[in-house]
Amino acid sequence: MTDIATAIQSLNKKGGVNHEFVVRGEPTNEAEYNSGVDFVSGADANGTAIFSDTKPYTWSEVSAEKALLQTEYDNNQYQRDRASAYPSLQDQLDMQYWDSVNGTNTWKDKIAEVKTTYPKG
Amino acid sequence: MALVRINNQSISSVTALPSGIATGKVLQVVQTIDKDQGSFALATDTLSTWMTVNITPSSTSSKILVRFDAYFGNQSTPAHPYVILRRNGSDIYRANTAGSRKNSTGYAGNMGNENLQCLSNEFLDSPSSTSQVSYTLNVAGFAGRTFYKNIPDVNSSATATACSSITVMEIAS
Repeated sequence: MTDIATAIQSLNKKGGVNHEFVVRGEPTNEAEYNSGVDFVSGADANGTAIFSDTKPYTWSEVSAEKALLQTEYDNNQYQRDRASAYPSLQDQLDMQYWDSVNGTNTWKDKIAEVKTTYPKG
Repeated sequence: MALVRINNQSISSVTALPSGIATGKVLQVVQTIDKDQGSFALATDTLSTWMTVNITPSSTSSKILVRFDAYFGNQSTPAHPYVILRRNGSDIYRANTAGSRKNSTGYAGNMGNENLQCLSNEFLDSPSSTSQVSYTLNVAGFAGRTFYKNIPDVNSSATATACSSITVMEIAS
């Protein structure tokens, strides 16, 4: 899912840090981000999270990262479409066996058909 | 069909329990529901409060029956969410330790990124108080990994969201 939590985790990964956080709802603007996202600064004696008054990432950074992730996801749609359209590996092996026996191109044609139906990018 | 009679009355005539039965009555019920989605990314052992419900017992002898249903989802990398039930910030229902495992009230484990796992449990508490008592369902995960409340990670027409709740009932005792 491309959401605010995933965007924050992506920024964490890029920065080599692991900021903990809680997201209430799915913020769609700066005000919702400021009120709905809290970052953990520590824990009290009972282990309960203490939230920071500040945020390590601005709404601009988080929303831009989310948009970037969404673009990457959308650009890979053809991969997901192809994956579900290809015959199972067992069926492909069966096609290849009979192609080799009969001198046909069933497997090659089927794979080409899927690639044509769902072109890259 | 046999006719059940209480004190020689038909059921339809019984509108209240006999006055001699003073225990076991539900005196009040309070519930907090959560229909919103949300996410957590918490270090191991760091707890965040999810749901809170407050009740003011009418007697120090009253029991409080606490029950909750909490729906969790997580990403393909499991966050191993678990919950701990607390009264006024202190643990009241937590399993004994067993090796390296976290001790909790309920553990969702690895449920895959398309599924929701419902953690449910009940606890009969004896707060011995007539002041407001606050029950909280606290959540924690593993290594700062993301997990969700009320929503699975996968967003498709095959998945669905859910509602969670915590309910307290004051029982005369």
